[in-house]
Amino acid sequence: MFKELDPILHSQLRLAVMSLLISVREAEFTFLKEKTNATAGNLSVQINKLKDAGYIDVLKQFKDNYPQTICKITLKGVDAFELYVKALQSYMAPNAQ
Amino acid sequence: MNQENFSPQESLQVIESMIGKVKTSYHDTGVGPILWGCVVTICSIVSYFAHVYKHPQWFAIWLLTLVAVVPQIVISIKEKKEKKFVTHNDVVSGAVWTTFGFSMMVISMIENWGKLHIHSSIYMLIYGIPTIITGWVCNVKPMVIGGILCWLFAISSVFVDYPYPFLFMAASAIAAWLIPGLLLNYKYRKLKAANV
Repeated sequence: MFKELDPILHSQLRLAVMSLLISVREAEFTFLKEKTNATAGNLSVQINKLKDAGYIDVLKQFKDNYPQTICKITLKGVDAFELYVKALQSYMAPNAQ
Repeated sequence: MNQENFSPQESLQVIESMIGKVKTSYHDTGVGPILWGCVVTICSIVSYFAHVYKHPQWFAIWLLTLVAVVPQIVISIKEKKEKKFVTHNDVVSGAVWTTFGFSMMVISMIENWGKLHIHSSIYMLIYGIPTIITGWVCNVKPMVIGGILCWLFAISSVFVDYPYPFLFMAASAIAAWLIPGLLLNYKYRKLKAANV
């Protein structure tokens, strides 16, 4: 039986952001942009969607007089990511229909 | 990269590729371990000669460890500025080495103010603890080996008379920090050159 895939995570860019954030404690926006090769505008939109879903925390601050955005996965985000991976496994299982 | 219709296989590829990108994004420069490896080696060897040539004032060389805190802070701030993300390992290592630094300060105070003689083996035992934890957590085998060597040197040093334990101490610093630091730095420079 296929499990339903979380629509918030089932988007390439949002999933990429979550995969990066699950591997670290926190990351700067510029790091996420560099690793996903996304445009700043698109990445901003997707980050806001993740934030609205409560999957990530976004901290805006200044570093050396430049604005800095730091993203961090939340516990809810970790749970959602784990459920998403489990759901993916149901699709990958040899007996999956 | 923002398709909503992609297969579970593609999802797994995205996850795998992003986790892989994080893994290859950061490598320790090894500058910190090189600095402390050199400082403690120098201090230990000077202490050995201070004992051999009976110049107790040479033991003041250990003040160099206080001076070395300044470049260490500069290095840490510089590395933190350049780094665009913080890993869980960074947090663990930071906590372990900060605790180690304060432990060394406390043990020095006990030794100096309490007029107690603390055998060098205790220092080597303490050197080994953060080294092994860092090596273990961050998967740096030379540090794990170096930390184990610290413990072996700590045990060995109780079987020899002073000033020889200072030579074991120098060997501990070389094994635990200098060699792993040089290896990390070599790896870092190689990777940096490959990415240019």
